[in-house]
Amino acid sequence: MSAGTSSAAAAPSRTDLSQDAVLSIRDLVVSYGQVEALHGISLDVRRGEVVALIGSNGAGKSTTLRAVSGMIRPASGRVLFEGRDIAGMPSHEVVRLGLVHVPEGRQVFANQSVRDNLVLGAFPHLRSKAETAAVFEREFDRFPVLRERQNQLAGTLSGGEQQMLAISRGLMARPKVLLLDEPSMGLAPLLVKQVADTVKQLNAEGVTILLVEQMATMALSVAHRAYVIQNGTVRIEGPSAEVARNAEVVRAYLGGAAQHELGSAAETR
Amino acid sequence: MDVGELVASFFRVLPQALVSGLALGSVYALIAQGYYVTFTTTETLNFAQGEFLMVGALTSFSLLVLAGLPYLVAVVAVILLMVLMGIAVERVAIRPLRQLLSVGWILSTVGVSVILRQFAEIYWGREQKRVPSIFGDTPLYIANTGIFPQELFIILASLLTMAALLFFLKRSTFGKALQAVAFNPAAAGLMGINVRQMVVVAYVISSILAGIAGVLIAPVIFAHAEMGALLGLKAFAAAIIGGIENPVGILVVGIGLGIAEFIVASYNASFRDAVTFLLLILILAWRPQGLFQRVTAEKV
Repeated sequence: MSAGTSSAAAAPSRTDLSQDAVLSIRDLVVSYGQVEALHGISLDVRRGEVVALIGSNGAGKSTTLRAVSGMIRPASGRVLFEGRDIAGMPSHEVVRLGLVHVPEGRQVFANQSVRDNLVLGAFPHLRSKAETAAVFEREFDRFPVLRERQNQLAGTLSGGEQQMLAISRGLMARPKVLLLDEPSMGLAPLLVKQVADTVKQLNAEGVTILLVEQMATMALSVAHRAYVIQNGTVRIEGPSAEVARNAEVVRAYLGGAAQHELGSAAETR
Repeated sequence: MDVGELVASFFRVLPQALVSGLALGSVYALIAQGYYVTFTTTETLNFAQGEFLMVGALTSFSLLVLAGLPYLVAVVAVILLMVLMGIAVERVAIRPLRQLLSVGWILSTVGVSVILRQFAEIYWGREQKRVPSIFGDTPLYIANTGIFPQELFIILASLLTMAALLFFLKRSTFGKALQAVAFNPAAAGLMGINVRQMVVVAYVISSILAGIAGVLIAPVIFAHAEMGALLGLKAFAAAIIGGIENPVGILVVGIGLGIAEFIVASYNASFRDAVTFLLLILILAWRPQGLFQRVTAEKV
């Protein structure tokens, strides 16, 4: 395994990580037909952490999340959630455990109202009326625009609003761990910042987050630790600030201009 | 016959055609809602839907006439039988063929229809069975128009069943989940919705609708092994013309077809079946998406 090139000194050792990890992925292999997309990914997410998964398009980031949440069946490897191997478990069962996946491209139910999308998010936990109302209030306070548009069809929302809805819908399922797939995709810079703030706020509320992002600058600015995957394997891992300084990462994913801004952002985390 | 005479005769036959057409048409609509439910959730449908109706009708004959059971018991028994048949057809004829990007389910469900027809011939025989209406066979006369009480009951019961179905699909959380499966099965799975189970539920609903339609219509058209084929096909025409993803369109067109058929039949009875399909071809040439299907663009 080629992991750990930048983290020898600062990061805790592998055994420490897996001991308090809420989500541990071990040697995960996924194939699409004859083509192997993941060649044995291993990573850990500890309770209370934001972990970023970065890498270029097609590196296997989304595939990793899809295999964890049961949207696709891994060929081999283990996915340990709270100590239990859930590899191959269908997605509708995984979400009931509190491992919630907000998929790439929002995937809101465009032909149903904003409110009904949230109702569907709460599907695994049919609650009492009062409890439901309280959860709706919480989400409407988080994203006031959803309150305004609750009776509109989700398909009529803008891209940014749809992303808020997708996140809120995921939160309705009471996640212990939230898998966020490319939440900033296709959004204007101002909205990207809002997504980043949301991630930080959710984390402050106690939600553990595994964040997949192509926008490495944003991801590293909100994450405690990061994994860089390339061609279906983990290339680099470590605390975000270190990964952000890694020469290879800077060259491949951050670009010269973003580097300074990012260096300082990651330090504050 | 000059034009004035034609118009006069048209208004003479109209009230009777309206009443009988409404009854037959609401049965078409009821069967076609079954196509709607499975097509929106799975993009497949049961071409044996007409034969499910036939089995429902003949079962009601066995239970009501041969066994002498009360009406309500017979209805419940038919519904239970349809639940089992819905589960079976999904498992045997739909699920194995859906993965293959194929239209194999068309052949497999048509195959199921042939099997059911032959089974019915063997089990119930070829002759037509009379299922008496629980409301009797004395027509009520309102302004020179004879209405069988059973016809009124068909209209009422089908409309109520459809109203209950739509209320269930649009308002209940379960109905919303079914819609979510229809729109995006992968995302529905992430909501904790068991997609495979929902597909089975859609087929069960579809089958129950056919069974209820069979019990309702048996007293007015005789029950026999061949009764389902044309009813199922005409209901399919109603679904296509109305727009297969539009339950209200299906209702309107189903009733419209029933009425058109009776108007034609009062001039030339042998032309009544052809008229449905003539209309189907003309309307589809004009609006290929169906009469009421909106062509919408969605923001992605």
